[in-house]
Amino acid sequence: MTDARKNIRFLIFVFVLLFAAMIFYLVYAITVYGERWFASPNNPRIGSVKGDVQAGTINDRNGEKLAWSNGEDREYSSDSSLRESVSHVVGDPYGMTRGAESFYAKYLYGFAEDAVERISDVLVGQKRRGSDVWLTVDAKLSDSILRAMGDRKGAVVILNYKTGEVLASVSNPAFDPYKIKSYSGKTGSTALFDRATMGRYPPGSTFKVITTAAVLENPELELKFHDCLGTAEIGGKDVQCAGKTAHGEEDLEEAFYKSCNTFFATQSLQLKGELLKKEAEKFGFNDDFMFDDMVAYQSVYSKPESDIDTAWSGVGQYKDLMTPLHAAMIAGSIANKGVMMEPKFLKTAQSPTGTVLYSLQTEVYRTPVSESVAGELKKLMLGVVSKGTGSAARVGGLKVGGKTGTAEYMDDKGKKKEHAWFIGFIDDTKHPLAVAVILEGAGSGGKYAAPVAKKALDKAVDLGY
Amino acid sequence: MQIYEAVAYAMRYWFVLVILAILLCVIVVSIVEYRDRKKVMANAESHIGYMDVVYTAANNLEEGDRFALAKSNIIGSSASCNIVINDRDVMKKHVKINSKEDGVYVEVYAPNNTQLNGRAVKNEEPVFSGDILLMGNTALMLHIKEEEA
Amino acid sequence: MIYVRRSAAVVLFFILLLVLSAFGLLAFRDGQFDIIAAAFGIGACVLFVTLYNVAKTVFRHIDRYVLIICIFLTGIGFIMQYRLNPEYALRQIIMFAIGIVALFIAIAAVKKAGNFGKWNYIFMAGVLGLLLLSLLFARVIGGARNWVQILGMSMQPSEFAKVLFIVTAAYFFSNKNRIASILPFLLFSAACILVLVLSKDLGAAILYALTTLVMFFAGTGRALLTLAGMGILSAGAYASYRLFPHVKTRVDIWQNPWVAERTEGYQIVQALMAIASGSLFGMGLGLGSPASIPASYTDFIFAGLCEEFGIIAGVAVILFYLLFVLRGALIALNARTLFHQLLVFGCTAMLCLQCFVIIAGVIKMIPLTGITLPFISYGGSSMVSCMALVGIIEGVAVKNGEYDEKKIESIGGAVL
Repeated sequence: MTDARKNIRFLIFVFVLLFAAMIFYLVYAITVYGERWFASPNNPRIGSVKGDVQAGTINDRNGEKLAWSNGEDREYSSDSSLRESVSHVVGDPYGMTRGAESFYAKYLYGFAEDAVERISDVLVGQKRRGSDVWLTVDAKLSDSILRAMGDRKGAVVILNYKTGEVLASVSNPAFDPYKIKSYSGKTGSTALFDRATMGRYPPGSTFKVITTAAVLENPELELKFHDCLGTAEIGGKDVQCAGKTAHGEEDLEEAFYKSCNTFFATQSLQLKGELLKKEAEKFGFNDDFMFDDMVAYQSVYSKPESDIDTAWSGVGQYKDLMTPLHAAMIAGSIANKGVMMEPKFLKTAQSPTGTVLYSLQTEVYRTPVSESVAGELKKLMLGVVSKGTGSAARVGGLKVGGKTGTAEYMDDKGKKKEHAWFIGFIDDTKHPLAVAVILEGAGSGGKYAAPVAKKALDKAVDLGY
Repeated sequence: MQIYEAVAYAMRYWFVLVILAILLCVIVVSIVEYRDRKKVMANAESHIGYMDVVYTAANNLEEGDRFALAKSNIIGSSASCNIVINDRDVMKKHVKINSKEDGVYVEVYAPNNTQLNGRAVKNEEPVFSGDILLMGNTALMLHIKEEEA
Repeated sequence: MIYVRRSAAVVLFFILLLVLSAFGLLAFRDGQFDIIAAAFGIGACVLFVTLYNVAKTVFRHIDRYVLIICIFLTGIGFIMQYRLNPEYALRQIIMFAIGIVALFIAIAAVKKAGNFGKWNYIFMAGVLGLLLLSLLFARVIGGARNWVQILGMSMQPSEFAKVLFIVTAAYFFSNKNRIASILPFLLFSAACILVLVLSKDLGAAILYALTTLVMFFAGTGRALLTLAGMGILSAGAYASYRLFPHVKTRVDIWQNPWVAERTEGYQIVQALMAIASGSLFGMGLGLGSPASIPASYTDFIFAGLCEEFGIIAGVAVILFYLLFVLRGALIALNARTLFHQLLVFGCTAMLCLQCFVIIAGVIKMIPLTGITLPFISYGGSSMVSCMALVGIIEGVAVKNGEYDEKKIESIGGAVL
């Protein structure tokens, strides 16, 4: 008989563990994913209160109204260019995009009020009002950026690398929120897609920042000098520099600001796929990006195996994909002494009676490199703008650093095209800005993306950031 | 409708409170009951039976009083005994009732003043349920658990 | 024991308070006073008080707290059911009343009938019969064939069968403690599971299988064989994953339901959103949209509970189930014969596993299965069979109490 008792005791212990695990899982899942699940566009609860609640106002960081409720309707800025430039960030109330309208539904539709406020609303006989939110973006900046992009598809992200606040996140083509219903079912239009946070592109030469970081962190592998012949044979295939230009004898600094492919291909071979992957993951590749404030798609880095794959991977032309938001974060971390801040889109949320429901807290996302390595990378990136391929990004009177990228890809017609990338920053504590620009299929990064970055940075500095 | 919403919204706290109160009560009482039962059953386990007072002249006892019998019990008028009988004719250490392998025995220290079922007792004799032990002017009826006999 | 008596009444009082306040609130849901809600609340309270008092008077030694937890869970169930659909709540309370009868019958049966002896063979036939009944005559609901229409009411035979199953399992695992004799029962068990799998009632199949394993281990203590059994079970599970397309769907949406947000994953996604919307204190009774979750009043009732009462309440409910299991286990440990130990433990284990499987499925910890949450889910057969299981547990508790009493009497009750 005692035998059975022992067994029963053991099984009870197992059951208790099971239940404990279940409770733990429930609490954990809700803590980590709860907000995101709630903000899902398919959540009928948000929809069901829409009739009863006057949704709160979405403002930009300076209080400029981006979206507000007027009776039953949702109204936007009367300036069409402005409202289109912030369209992705603001989102829509129908769940067709993942902008502030759905992500901050908790505040906008009054779910975050406390009971006292709700009861007093009833007593006063007032229709329930949602809380207002202030985003971190600047509408005027976004507007001028969209204009600078013209009709080229792509995205631009500007953020404050000290705090992580996103000052502008513009995706082109943008949509007009007044006409959003007309976009549903429209094939061939990608206007609703937010390229800034969800668009994943091959990084091209911008990845050399990470390759260089790997080189700097593994000093025993450094190649001091390299003779670039414009083309190199690796693993039976050719790796070429842009336009097959032979850069001649160069050191790390020169190779960097001239964006020499053969140099970095050779470095990558020495580093091998494992180290490259480690470095990329330090910078946030392959991470789920469960940011509090927005949905950001994962940047992907696949470990290359063969020599030729490793070579191309080091110059960002293997299977890797990066989002513009992530690119800006990477640039920002270099400028910010190696510390990558978590991007923030929400500055404040305030209830109709003035209670502050949320106030931005800066958070460190990760620290990919040490301060000294970041310092060296910064110097190299400053070189790109002052002496190299990124000269078009110069901003008057300020030190600008960056990296251009010309990412080759095949379009759906089988033609070889190039994305124009520029990622960079202003090295000045009074203007701690990082920028990432991608123009789909536009061509050379230095020629097309860098000027757009310049215009964006110019305007940002102009506005006082 | 709005009134309902506001009230229901406020009552959330009330419901959670009541549920937690119930939970707490159940947990606390379960623990207490568990411990209680353990104690009681351990007691029941460690005792061999009980004794009832049939009649007595002692000033600290009454007819009908009941004592649990442990494995070993010293009965007498001294305060240090397991069972104290304040009877003039009960010696300081009068008898010992204890449980051995083959049953329960009574060991008598004061043979003059002790009778078992009306007979005099030699130093040690086995006892059974229903036996009456007379010490001085106090008569005690013994009940022994079946397993012990 | 006197201590226990008083406090149980206090807890019962709190439960009544909860039920009455909830129904009081629900009565005003549509603006006008809903007399049925009030009547329902009062009726439920009357049932609870009667059940508690009659039970403790007729059977002095029942475990009061098991009954109290049972009452609490049923009460929460009523509140949620009424909130979702008053008609279902009415049916539920009627089934609860029937369940009370089943409870008393079970207690009496356990008290009087030793280990049921030869009856076990009849039980075994009964179990197979009921399961075959559902296999042959059932309607398909939600991919599983386990509902049978009798006299206009639908019921699940596998629920009733499970009670008898546990009794027979306890008998065979305790009667002859040697593998050669236990083997026939294991074959019987395998047969039952097979029938259930064929009926596509995989949830019940898992329950039967796990309960068999648990009782096997408890009765014989043979860890290796039990692990072998688990291995066979896992192999079976894998095989069903390969063979049955709807199993594959379930596993896929368990891993990532968001890809099929509006189609196959709709149910679990809605459940997750509901739970998330509840945050700590819930959205408020009557203020959420639990109806947006399919099967909200049966399998997903827990999600609805978390939505309107909050995570704290949800965790509390899980803890209540855990306490129930612990008390049941205590009764098992105090039981005097191997048969009774296994009997109680089997019932406790089955309720425990049922609870775990469905809640874990709803919160996406494991793939979803179609089982009900005991006492809270809507389901006549579920309610009655769970009450029967509780009855068995209480029956053994009564026996334990009688033994205890005798023991204390043997020392004259002098230690109390």
